[in-house]
Amino acid sequence: MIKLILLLAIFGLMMCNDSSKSVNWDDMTELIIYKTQEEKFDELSADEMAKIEFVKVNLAEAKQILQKAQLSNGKMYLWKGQFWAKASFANGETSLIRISRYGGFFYNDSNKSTYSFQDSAESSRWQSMISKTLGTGEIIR
Amino acid sequence: MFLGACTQSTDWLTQATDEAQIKQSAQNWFDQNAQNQSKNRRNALANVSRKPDWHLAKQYLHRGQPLLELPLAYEGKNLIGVLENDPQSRGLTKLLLRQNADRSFTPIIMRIYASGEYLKNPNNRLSNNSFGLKDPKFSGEVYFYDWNEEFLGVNHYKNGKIVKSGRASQGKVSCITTCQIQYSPNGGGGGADDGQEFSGGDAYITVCNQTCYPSGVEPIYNYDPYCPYNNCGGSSGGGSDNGGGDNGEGDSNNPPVSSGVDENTILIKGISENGVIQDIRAYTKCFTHDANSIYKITINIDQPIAGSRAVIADSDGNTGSAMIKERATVGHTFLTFEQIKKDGTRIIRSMGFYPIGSVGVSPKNPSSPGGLVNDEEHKFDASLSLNMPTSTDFYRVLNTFSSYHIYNYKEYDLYTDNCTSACLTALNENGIKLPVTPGSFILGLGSNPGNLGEDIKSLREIKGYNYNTPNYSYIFSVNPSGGVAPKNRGFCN
Repeated sequence: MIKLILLLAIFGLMMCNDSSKSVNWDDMTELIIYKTQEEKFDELSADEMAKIEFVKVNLAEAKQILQKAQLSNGKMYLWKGQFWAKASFANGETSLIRISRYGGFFYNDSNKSTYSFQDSAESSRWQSMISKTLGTGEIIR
Repeated sequence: MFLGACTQSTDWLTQATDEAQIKQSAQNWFDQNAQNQSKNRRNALANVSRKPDWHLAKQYLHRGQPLLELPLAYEGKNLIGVLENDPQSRGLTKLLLRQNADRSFTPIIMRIYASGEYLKNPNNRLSNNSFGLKDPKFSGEVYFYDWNEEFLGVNHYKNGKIVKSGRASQGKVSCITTCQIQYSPNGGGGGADDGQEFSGGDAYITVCNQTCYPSGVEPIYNYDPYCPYNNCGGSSGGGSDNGGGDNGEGDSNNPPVSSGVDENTILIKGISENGVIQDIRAYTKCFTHDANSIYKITINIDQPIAGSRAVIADSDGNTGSAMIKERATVGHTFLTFEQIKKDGTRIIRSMGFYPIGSVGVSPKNPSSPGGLVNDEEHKFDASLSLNMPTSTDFYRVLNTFSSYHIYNYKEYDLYTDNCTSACLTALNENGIKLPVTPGSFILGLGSNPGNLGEDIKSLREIKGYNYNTPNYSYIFSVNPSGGVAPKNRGFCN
């Protein structure tokens, strides 16, 4: 009986942990990509970050694509450079996001989780959106 | 509205009074203080003595304080544009001395580099450009350094207006080697120690110089070396704060919007929306065979940990069991191809070999369809630039590397055919032999950015062959401290 309770408790904790990693992208109010190659960007102060140029991603498109992002569940992807992004949400929270320069995966610093697009069409849409935004988006600073 | 605020304002500087007195004070202070402060220089200019020309000093008021501007000559080394009276100069170097409230002075070195486009106009007024006033047609960059030649900040100009600015960020010191073209009538006039002449007796000289600055330049709104954080009061005359910071026209709470996009980037063809180079011919078609051009190929290496042979690490620099696997990086190696034409225009394309499957590769799943991806503005930790002796040699490497494009269906393999091996293959197959230390990605073996980045730092010579010569020693320079690859430049129909 005790074992069963323990198992249930562990299962519950796992579920709880997993749900904390799901992000409601529909609540996202803004997604921006910073025009920086600063490796330690996450260590900058808010004031310093505010001075970095950025481009805004089309919010509707981003929400639509991000719905298809899946938690990688421990799957390892090797990084070869990254872009820094920040997602803002309706509740006022923000998440720093590291977007891989290749492949359809990104890392959410807030919940320390990697997400990927397993479907090649969605992955391509995601990469296109990032590349297009960086190439032609209005630069704000 | 905000773009208007970028314009260099003339009431920012006004003529100083008591000119002779201030000049004498500045000279006394300089002789007693600044000359002794210059012993900590650690870059290529460390052993070059510098001499301001006090006879040509001009004076202004800058934010209410006297400021002197005078030509600065570098003795023993004919740097680009140090001579203000050289009408063919690519740029100017000046010493700025602003008096502080305690009567001391703050020396700043200012280098004005004109763009090739600006220099095309034989009636350009390069020598008329100064700290506070720019020719309305001036295009180029103005760099600022402290007296120890440490980079401080930069303003980029287009038609006399600042379009982009940056200041040194806090961080490690990086160095880059920059090469500039200097027009030298009748083949003389330049006389750069480390320059090299074009073949055929052309009157253009390229001068390469290593410049050190902190990695990463933090973009800001108009850089003023005497107010680097844009938090100074306006000028005493009530003029606008050209820095555009807290007290100026710009408002840090409502950041200004720049016009943004570099038209060259948009017009470069051949890249699909996701950065994959779909049409390699279109992407590289602007390069031309031209006996009067300089050709350079740079191998850029983004190491997992800068300055380390680590083959894999997380983004915090942890390796082994401490490494956060979800943020494990193997780094990246890519090539930058550059043609510098006689008129100073540049064609630049950067690209690297990547896995281009829907998601990434990993030690367990090391293979994926591969292809070339646009790598402009990709950061790197070390690089090696090779001067290609002829356009044929340049094209041979370009063609070999181009064979990695997506429609050649080459498989990317983390252990055998990765980004580093693709670059090395393109060079090795065309006579440029680089020593390579293979590493291990947990299980297999392969060339890798970690080792290559360290290998190139110990290179003393690169022997191989080229189109004309069976035994050829390549002229090269190593940037051991990294930077960011240049934006792609140059377009054609």
